[in-house]
Amino acid sequence: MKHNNGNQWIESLLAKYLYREPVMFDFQQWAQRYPREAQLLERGIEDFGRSHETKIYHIWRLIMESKITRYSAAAVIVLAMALVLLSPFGTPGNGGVVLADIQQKVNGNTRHKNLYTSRQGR
Amino acid sequence: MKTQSRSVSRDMMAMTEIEDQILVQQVLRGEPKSFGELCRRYYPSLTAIADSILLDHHLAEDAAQETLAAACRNLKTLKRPESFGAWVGTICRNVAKDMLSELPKQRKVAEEYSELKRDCDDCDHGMIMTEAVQQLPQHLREVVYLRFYNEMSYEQMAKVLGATQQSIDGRLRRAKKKIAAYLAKKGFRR
Repeated sequence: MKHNNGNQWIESLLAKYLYREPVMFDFQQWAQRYPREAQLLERGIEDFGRSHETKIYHIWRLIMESKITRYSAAAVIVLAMALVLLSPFGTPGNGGVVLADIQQKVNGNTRHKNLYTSRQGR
Repeated sequence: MKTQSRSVSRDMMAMTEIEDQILVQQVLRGEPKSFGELCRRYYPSLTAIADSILLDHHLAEDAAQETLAAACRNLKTLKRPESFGAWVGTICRNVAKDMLSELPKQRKVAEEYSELKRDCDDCDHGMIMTEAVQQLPQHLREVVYLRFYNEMSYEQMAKVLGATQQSIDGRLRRAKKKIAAYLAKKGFRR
């Protein structure tokens, strides 16, 4: 893979000024620094993966995986919000039953009844 | 002959990939030793990647250790265990960038110190070389660090960068060209 080009001399310079002795990884020291992760390794990560948080993460990942699911999820959210905010079904303006309307009707009926009974009493 | 050696190196890469895959599966089943082996395998390259971003060896070691902790926490989400190297390399890049954004003050102090040093020892070859490497774009600097930091092979670099050996070779050549241009601009003589 090495190519003999005009910049070969740079390689020796880079090796001279950038080279460091390979750093050795100390697992015991790492485990002391990250005890939670060390515990996780002891327990086995497969069991850990079944927690509630990771389930939610998996659902999120499943949705975000393809464009179709991503846009359809966004559409569902927008539709749900539109339904909640605009509430086209069952609103007072569009023929919904409201307590005030019923009270008004009941009051109207009782007034008529009172008038009728008072006339009869005469 | 060339094709034979290429196929041999491809086989070797496949071997280590399989090994990585097996090690990841063992870790998932609860064998900490396998994770230790994965760490030993990738720790030097992770340190080199982090150093190419942070330009500080001690911080780079911290970033590499943090990367391995993050990898341990998220190993369950790794889809292709055979590409563990590239996956952990990406995590390392993100961790190092996060660390860099969290340390602006320290960075300023370090820069001031390096400027002072530059004033008193301007014609030092080492300093000019360091500057030449630092002026490279991050993706080229990363390749230079991986290659010359621990004298890493192209196979190892390909694994941790998730790139082909040809593209790595191209990046290295571009980086050397840029370094040569910088050195020529600074009046550096061979």
